[in-house]
Amino acid sequence: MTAPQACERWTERVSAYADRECGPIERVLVRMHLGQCARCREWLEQVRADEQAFRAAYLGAEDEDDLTPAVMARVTGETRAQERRAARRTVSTGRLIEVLVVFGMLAILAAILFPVFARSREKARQASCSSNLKQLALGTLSFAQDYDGRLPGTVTWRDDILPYVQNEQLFVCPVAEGGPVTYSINPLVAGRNLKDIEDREGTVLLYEVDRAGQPVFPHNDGANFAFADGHVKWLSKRQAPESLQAIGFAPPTRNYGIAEQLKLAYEASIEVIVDNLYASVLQAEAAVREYGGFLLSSQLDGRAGCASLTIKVPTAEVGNVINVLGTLGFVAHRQVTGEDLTGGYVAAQRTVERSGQRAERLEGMVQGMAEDKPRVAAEETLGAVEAEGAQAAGQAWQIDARTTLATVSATLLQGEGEPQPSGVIASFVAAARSFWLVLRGLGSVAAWVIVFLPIWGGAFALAWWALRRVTRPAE
Amino acid sequence: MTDAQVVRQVLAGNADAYALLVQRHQRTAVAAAHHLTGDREAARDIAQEALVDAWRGLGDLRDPAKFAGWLVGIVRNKCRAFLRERHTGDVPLEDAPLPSVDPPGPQDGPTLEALRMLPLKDREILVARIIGEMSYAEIARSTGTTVNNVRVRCCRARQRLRELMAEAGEAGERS
Repeated sequence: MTAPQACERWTERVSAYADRECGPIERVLVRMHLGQCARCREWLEQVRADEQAFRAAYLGAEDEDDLTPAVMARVTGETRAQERRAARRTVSTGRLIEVLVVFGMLAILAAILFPVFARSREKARQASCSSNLKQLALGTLSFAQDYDGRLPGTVTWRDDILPYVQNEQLFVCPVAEGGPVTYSINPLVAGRNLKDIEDREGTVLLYEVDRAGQPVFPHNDGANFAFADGHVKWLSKRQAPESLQAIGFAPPTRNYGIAEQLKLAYEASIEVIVDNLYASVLQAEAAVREYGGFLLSSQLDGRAGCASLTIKVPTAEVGNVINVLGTLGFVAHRQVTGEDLTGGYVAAQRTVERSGQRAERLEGMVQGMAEDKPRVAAEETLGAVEAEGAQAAGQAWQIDARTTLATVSATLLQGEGEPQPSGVIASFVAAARSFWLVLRGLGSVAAWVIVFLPIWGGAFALAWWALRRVTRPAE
Repeated sequence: MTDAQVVRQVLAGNADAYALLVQRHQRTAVAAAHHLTGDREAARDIAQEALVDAWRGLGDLRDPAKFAGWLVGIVRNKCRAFLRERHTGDVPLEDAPLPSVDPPGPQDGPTLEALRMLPLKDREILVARIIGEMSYAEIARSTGTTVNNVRVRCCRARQRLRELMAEAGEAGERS
C-alpha cells in the first residue's frame, strides 16, 4: 500500500516523524495531522511495522556462528606483534645509547690513561738516563782518584773515563725526541782538583747537552744532573738555572794531552731583558772590572729602553762574565763562537824561529864578506829574512792578542717586569705550588692514580653496568 | 558498561575489552553486510574484516558512543568495494538491484525480498537507519550528503520498498 496522494506532502514528514528526526514544531504539526488523517496514520503504522519486520528478520537471521573468537584472535595477534615491534625499537634504541655510553667511557679513560702512559715511558727513560749519569760520575771520580784528585779536561773527558765505565752506550741519553742527547763535564770544574771544590754536593759535575754542546731538558721539562759528590738528581727547567749558572760556558784554559799552545779566539753576544736598565748597566760594568776586563764602548738609550755594551775580557773569564750578565734578567739570546787559531799561531812561531836562525846565519856570512856584490846580495837576503820573521812575529802577536782577550757584545733591554702577587694570593699561590710539588714528588703515575681514583672507579662501574646491559639477551 | 566506556578501555591498552564490543555489534555488522551484499558467506567475512579494521582505527573514532554507526559505515565501505569487484554490468552500481546469491530461505519474508530489489543507495540508507540506528545527520556525514537529502531518500526508499512488497504480494496471489 502506498501513501495517499492527497497527503503526499505529509509522507516525508511522517517518515521523519517515525525516525524521530522532526523538530519540535514539525512534530506537533505532524501529530495534529495524524489526528485528522487516517491514511497518514496508516502510513506511519506501515513504516513502523516494516522497520520491525526488517530488524527482526535480519537480526534473527544472522544468529549463526560467533565472530568474537576469530576477531579477537586477530586482534590479540596484532597487539602482540605491535608490542614486539615497540619492544624491539625500545631495545635497539636503548642498546645504541648504552653502546655510545660505553664508547664514551672508553674515550674518557683513554684520554686519562694515555698521558699517564706517556709520562710513565718518559719516566723510564729518565731513570735510564739517571743510571747512565750515575755510572759516568763514578767513572769521572775514579779517574780523579787515580790522578791525585785532578778531574779530566773537557775535551779528553770522554776518552779519559771510558776505561773506567767500559761502555760507550752510557754516553747516549735514551731520550725519544729532540735527540741525540749526550753528556758533558762542567767546564768550570774540568781539569781542576777535587780538593779545590768546596761545595761538592752543590756543584754540577756532569749534565745533559745537545749536539751543539748546549744544556738541554729532555725529561718532562727537566734534566738529570750529576754532582761532584757522585749523586744524581733530576731538576726541572725552573730549578735548573741556579745550577746552570755554575755550568755556563767557559773556554778550556788547560788542555791536558792535546796542546799547551792552544790558541782559541772567542766572540760572545748576549741579549738580556732587565727590569732596571740603568742599574743593570752599572752592574754589568762592575762585573767586567771584577773579572779583569774593560769596557770598549757603552751606549745607554733610556728612551728606547736599551743599552749596548762592548766588553773586552780575558779569555779565561769570558764564561764568568757571560754568566754574570745572564743573572741581570731574562736571557733572550746568547751566542758564543770560537775560532781555532792554533795552527796559524804555531806556523807563525815556527816562521819566526826559522827566520831567526837564517838571519843569524846570514849575519855571520855578511860579517866575513868583503864589500862587493855577493855581500850586497847577502845583506838583501838578510833583510828579507828579517822582514819575514818580523811579519810572522806580528801575526803571532795578533793571534796572541785575539786569544788573550775575548769580545763580548751585551744588549740590555728594558722589560715590563713580572707582576708579583701579594698577601693572600701570594700565600695561596705558594701553597698550591707546594701541593703540586708534593704531588710530583709522589711520582707521576701514583699521583694520577690517587687523584683520579674516584673518577676511574665511577667510570669503570658505569662501563661494567652498560656492558652487562648490552650482553644481556633480548627478551 | 556503555560502548563509550569500553572504547576508552581499549584505547587505554586493554585489547581484551574489545571482545565486548564484538559480541554486542557483530550481528549488526553481519546483518548490514548481508543486507548490502546479499551474500551470507561474504557478509561474515566482510563483518569480520570490518571489526578488525574498526579495532585498528579505533583512535580515529571521534565520539565513542557512536561506535555502532561508525562500524556500519566501515561495513558499508567494504561492501561497496566488494560489490565493485563483483559488478560487471552496464547499469551503474548504485542503481543495480542486488543479485540473488543466497537461495531464498524460509526465514526470508516479503520485506527482505523486496529490500533486495532496492538500488544500492536506498539499501545503504535503510540499513544505516534501521540496523546501524544512525541518525540522519550521521548518515549524511558518512555518505557525504545533506540531512535533507537523507530524509527525502529515506522516505522514498520506504515508499519504494512498500511498492515492491505490494508487487511481490500480487505476484504471489496470481501464482
